[in-house]
Amino acid sequence: MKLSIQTKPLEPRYGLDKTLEIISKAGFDGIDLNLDLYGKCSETFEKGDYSSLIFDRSASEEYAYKLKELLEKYNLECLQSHSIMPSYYLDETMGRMAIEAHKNAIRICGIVGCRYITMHPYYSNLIEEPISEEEEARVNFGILFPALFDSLKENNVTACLEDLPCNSKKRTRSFRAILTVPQKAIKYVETLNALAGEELFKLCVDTGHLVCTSSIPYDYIKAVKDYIGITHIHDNDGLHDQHLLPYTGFTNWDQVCRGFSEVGYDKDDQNLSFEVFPIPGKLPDDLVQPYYNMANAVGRRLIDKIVNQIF
Amino acid sequence: MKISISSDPLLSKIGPEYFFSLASEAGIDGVDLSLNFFDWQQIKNRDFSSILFDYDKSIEYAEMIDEYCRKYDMEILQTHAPFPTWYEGYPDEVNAKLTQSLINCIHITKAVGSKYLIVHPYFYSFSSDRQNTNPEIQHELNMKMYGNLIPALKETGVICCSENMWLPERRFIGKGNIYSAMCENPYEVNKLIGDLNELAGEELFGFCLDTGHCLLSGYDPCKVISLIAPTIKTFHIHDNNGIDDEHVYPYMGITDWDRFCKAVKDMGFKGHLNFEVGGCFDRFTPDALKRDKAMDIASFRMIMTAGKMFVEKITGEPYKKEGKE
Repeated sequence: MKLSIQTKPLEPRYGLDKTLEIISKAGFDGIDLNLDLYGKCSETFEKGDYSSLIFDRSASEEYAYKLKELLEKYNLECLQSHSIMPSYYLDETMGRMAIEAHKNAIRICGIVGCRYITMHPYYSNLIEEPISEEEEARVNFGILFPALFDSLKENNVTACLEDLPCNSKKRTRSFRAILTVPQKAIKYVETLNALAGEELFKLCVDTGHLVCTSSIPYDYIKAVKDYIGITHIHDNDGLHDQHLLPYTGFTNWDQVCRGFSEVGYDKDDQNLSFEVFPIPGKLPDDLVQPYYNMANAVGRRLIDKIVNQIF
Repeated sequence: MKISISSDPLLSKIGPEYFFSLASEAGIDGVDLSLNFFDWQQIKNRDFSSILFDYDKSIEYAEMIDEYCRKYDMEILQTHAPFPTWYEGYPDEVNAKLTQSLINCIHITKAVGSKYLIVHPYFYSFSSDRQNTNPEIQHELNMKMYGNLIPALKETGVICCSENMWLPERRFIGKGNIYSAMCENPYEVNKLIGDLNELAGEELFGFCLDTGHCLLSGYDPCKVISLIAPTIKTFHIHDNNGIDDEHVYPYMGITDWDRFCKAVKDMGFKGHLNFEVGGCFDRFTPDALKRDKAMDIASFRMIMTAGKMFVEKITGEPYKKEGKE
């Protein structure tokens, strides 16, 4: 198995070169490329400022070729990436620009040889502002994802749909949002693959999102076994989406590893990807490298458990 | 729309006379009668001395409760079976006894004039034991457990309601971290109730949505209502902090009650509202032997006030006392 970690929060802080140097030095095999950094709702869509490279084909290609060089320099792979979020807006211009951003993100993946891109389905992240099942289906099956079929095919990229939590306005605890129930997750992948006429969609199993919504990751992994494309690995207190390093929260990691092992998610080309951005974002410079070294050690421990069935 | 309260744990602590007099004085329409007369430990010890293992004693108890209902002009609007309801891995005779107790609960429900009996689904207790479990196995065991009740349900006309459950993880017991268990997942609910009614050949099974348990399991109760509305026959309405199963009054926890009332209105619910807020009685008057009547009646009236408010939000009309069914 391979181990990767996301480029957030290092890339905005240090730039791509230094980011990859830190990740490589820590011992990771690859990166989860946070392209969501380039299409933030508050900085782009809400202001109508689409100057970010993710909205421009040539600028995003230039970024991709630079990244490709750096990946080679540091002997890293781009094992997965993360497209913009929210992934769609009902406003006509914003919706069109969001789809353009996804297409450019997929193209970047194609250039750097990244096989998987994490995508959030269209959903509400506030329980007070629910979106009906029918409306979710109308946008996800009728507009957003069908617009990306050709890009995914051309670039040989699989879109991995993520299980997501939502909040209340009072931020009391995390609640279940789209795809945290396995039956719905499977239905989404099967429906989209049927519409596409080939297997373009899988799941990104986010263990932290399952734990903070009181789901049992073991059960979820077992239920969606045939549909797992990639992972987001992180920990929390069982209530809030804290994105902590494994073993610093409530997750039963023996159970998680047992689940991945039992469903055969343990192959050489399969990947555990850490999504643990909040802490390194707060660390002073001289503690950043030690944190990534620690994260790598934790990741290797989890892989050892999965591959060698140590529970 | 009627308003009821769950009798657990107060009725057994203060006795039926005082309990029914308080409920009646507060203007409450009815009761969810708890039949929680044995626990896990007794079953492990093969102690089957509870009245629920004896048909005649069960009916005697029902008649006693019925007398109090008549005296205080109240109704038993739903009943609640004891739990565990099944113990996988135990000898067949133990599960046969548990089944017999549930059948006697059905007869008690009929005898007290109620239409609904709430029976917890069977579920694996602790998530750290779950490596041998899967949702399909739990579904099959529940089909077996509930399926055994079909003849008695047909005979009595009682509707058996399953309920959404939660569970703690063994290593975190007491620390408040919990997971969803059987019937929290709305897809599981629709499948279980659908399969059971198909097996019965008629609508003998429904669902009791527990609002507090939804919160503990990371489910927005309003979203769940929209997904399983046709199965919902009864409610356990209570609040909590999202971490502990506190069973406190609405507005003492994190539930958004305006949205809850809207969801109940939108589903076209025509049943009664039951408040399962036993956690509050112990907070206000923890010593069962030193009752403070003013405090007790204030507690009951607070529930009734919340109930009236909910009825108005749901029906669009002020609460009005209805006659017995």
